[in-house]
Amino acid sequence: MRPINIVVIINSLFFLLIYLFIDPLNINILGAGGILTALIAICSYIIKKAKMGDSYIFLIISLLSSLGIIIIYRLDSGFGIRQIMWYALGVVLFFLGYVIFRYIRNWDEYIFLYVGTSIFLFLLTFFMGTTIKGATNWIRIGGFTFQPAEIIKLIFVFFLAAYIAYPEKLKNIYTFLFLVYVHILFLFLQRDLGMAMLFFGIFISIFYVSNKNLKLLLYNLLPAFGIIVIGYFTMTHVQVRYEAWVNPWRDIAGRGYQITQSLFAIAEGGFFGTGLGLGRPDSIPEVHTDFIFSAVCEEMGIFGGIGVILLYFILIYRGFKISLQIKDMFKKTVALGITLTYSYQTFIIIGGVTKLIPLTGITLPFISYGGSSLVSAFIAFGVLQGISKDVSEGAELIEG
Amino acid sequence: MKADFNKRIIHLIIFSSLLFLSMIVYLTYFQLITGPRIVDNPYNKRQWAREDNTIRGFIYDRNGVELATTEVVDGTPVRKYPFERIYSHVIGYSSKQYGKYGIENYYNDTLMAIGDSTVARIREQLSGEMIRGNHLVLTIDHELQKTAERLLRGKKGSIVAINPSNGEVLAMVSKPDFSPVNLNQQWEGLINDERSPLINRSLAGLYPPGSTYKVIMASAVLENLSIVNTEHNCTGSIIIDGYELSDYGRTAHGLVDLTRSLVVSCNSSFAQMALELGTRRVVNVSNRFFMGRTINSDMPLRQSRIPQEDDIPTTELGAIAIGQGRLLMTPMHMALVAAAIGNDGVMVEPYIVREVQNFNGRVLQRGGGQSHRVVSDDIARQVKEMMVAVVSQGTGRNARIQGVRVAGKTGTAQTAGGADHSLFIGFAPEDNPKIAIAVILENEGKSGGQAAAPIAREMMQLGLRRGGE
Repeated sequence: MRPINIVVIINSLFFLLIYLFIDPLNINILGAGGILTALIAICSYIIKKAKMGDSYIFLIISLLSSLGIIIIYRLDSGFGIRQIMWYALGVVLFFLGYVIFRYIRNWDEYIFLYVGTSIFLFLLTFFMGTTIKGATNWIRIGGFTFQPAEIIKLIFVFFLAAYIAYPEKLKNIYTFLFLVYVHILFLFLQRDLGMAMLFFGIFISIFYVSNKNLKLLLYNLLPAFGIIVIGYFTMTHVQVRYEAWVNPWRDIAGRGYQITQSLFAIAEGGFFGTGLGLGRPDSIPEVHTDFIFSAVCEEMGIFGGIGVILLYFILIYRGFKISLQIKDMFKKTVALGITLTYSYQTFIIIGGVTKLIPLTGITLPFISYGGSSLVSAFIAFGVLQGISKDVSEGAELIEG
Repeated sequence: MKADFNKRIIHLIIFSSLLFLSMIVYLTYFQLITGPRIVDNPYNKRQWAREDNTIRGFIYDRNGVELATTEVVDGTPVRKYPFERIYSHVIGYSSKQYGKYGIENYYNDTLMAIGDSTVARIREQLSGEMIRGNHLVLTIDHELQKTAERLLRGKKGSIVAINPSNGEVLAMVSKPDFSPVNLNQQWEGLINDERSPLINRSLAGLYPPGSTYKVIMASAVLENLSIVNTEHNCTGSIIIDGYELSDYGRTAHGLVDLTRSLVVSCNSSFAQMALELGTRRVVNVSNRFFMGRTINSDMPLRQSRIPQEDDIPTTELGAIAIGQGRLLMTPMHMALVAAAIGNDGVMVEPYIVREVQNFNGRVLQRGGGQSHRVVSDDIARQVKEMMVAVVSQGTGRNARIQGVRVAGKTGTAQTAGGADHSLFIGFAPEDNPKIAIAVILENEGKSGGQAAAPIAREMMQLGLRRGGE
């Protein structure tokens, strides 16, 4: 069976389920589901016919997004409808990202622009930011709030790649390291621990790939460890996160509340779940954003949860494959960076809500509710799609 | 350079694969091991949600008397216990704040209809009605239970009455107790009370069986023809390895055979016989009576204890013969021992839920345990005869019932530091027992014949009058 058919069948089943049980006989949701599925089918057709490279990436991220929309709609129909809008905007930006990335040829030359933009956005957040859920990482423009770090993630990857392509542009490697840690420090000061961890993970991995000097790698790991230890003793919210991880049951009503509620949800779901709309994921705080994976597990069981994990796995596998095949150093690193970003982000949040690792607030790519997160992910994968085009062209050249 | 680059990327692929694999493995582990342990946590709001939407099944005695019901008050189900403390340990309580106890706990899924197929619940799902739980019909006879509670009121201990032929629990009372109504007013007192009112002594209390254990010892002696006819000269005490083991009140019983030893409950004679039998035979018979073994039941029954070494020191073996030392039994187990003798050597696993019915009375499940032969019917019949003699002419005379052949055995167990426990086990009538009983009065300070036997008598009398119906 062709992959697009699978996506269409899964979407039809889920939206029919919502139409019949969750929001009985509301014809609008059936219409919205139909439009969504049609949009996926048309876009995947375009990608194939226009020979835009990898034909799986779009399907997988659309399937993940559909699943997110369904779960969010089941939790709160208003949010669900808004997420469909965000998805549509995401698709537009996916193609826009693809076109712009391919149209401009010399992305690897703007290292200072990348650093400058990142720092500008950080400063903007710092001085004009709004604090939401204890982290000052939002900017409000009119009625909209967005999270600059979501965009900076991609710019950061471009910055790393630009440096790898032309290291001589910076005075020496220490300047580079300094600039990297400025990013991480800003995130730390914004109390956005999940993002700080993610940025460090991307940096250290790319550093590992590109740098022959393993001793320097070690020197980078040591201070990171030091920062965590110092952070633990100086910042109470780091302590709280750590203790809630080690033993959330000691203070269920307080610091362990979120994580234990999440664990109850997963445990309640068992292997096959309570069924869509039959669980009580609404008892978990932040369930439509950070904790959405627990809601998936409650109503679809860990078989559903593992299915989601495997979808991410196929997605990053495509990303790694593209990165391995491409020759251009800048594009190779960008592909790798984007792949790692979403690989680590998935691990950080799924590991966090299941108590495998300490919980740090970060969204589950494509599934969590939220405009900035969804849109930036679509742009990033639009870029990856653009890079994959080079791979297929290269292949054609060899075959030809 | 580039080849090196790609090699390192492959390292990252392996690393990422491990990260993803760890999530899958961890989730599976969580669901198998951790999950089932945490779902019952009172902070899990799902239970409340389910509870607010379920009419918890009713609980009835064997004759249909309502023991626990659910009424819907302003759209919320409220659990009612009309007989309050009479059933405190049997039925227990179901409380949002304090969790679940007793049958409310171990039959929770049945009462809440959890695990019943979703298909069966579609009607409720669609109509938005409350889910109806399954009802339980107990083996308990309300009249017997009421009497047992009255007889034990103001004392500490336990009464267990069972039907020897099928293992039905007819009455089970443990004191001190609590009222399942208004728990929050009593809670602080209950958990701080040194007398542990929250423990169901009948199933979880471990007591030295005292001389009631001589019933098992007599079976052991009868199985060994070489010593069965030996007579012992009782001088009121016996010295084993320098330790003195004395008879109750230091009474010298003179020359006694096995029957006489049981009738007068002679400690020196039984200690002597245990030494002659040796560790292996004593432990073997004890194990057959489920000492140190799990007895299956629909209630959580604690294991009784016996030293498990191959070679128990002689002083200890002497103590075991008279139900002291490291020998500990639950009251339910003592009743089962009496029942096994009454039932011609076959012990039936006890159970308390006779039927599970769905909300409109259809029987979904019937209770009942397995049978285990513990001694031959011939030996059981001989022990039975001796137990009849105990009641008709020995220490158990206070359990006599006009016109009925009652079998029994008294016990007075010494405790470390406290007053003696007073015990009685027995059954009636001798030829076709309808009721077997164990009575334990904790630190009563009187002999089993004085304090426990009259209570057992009243229970058996009522049990026979009601004829197990």
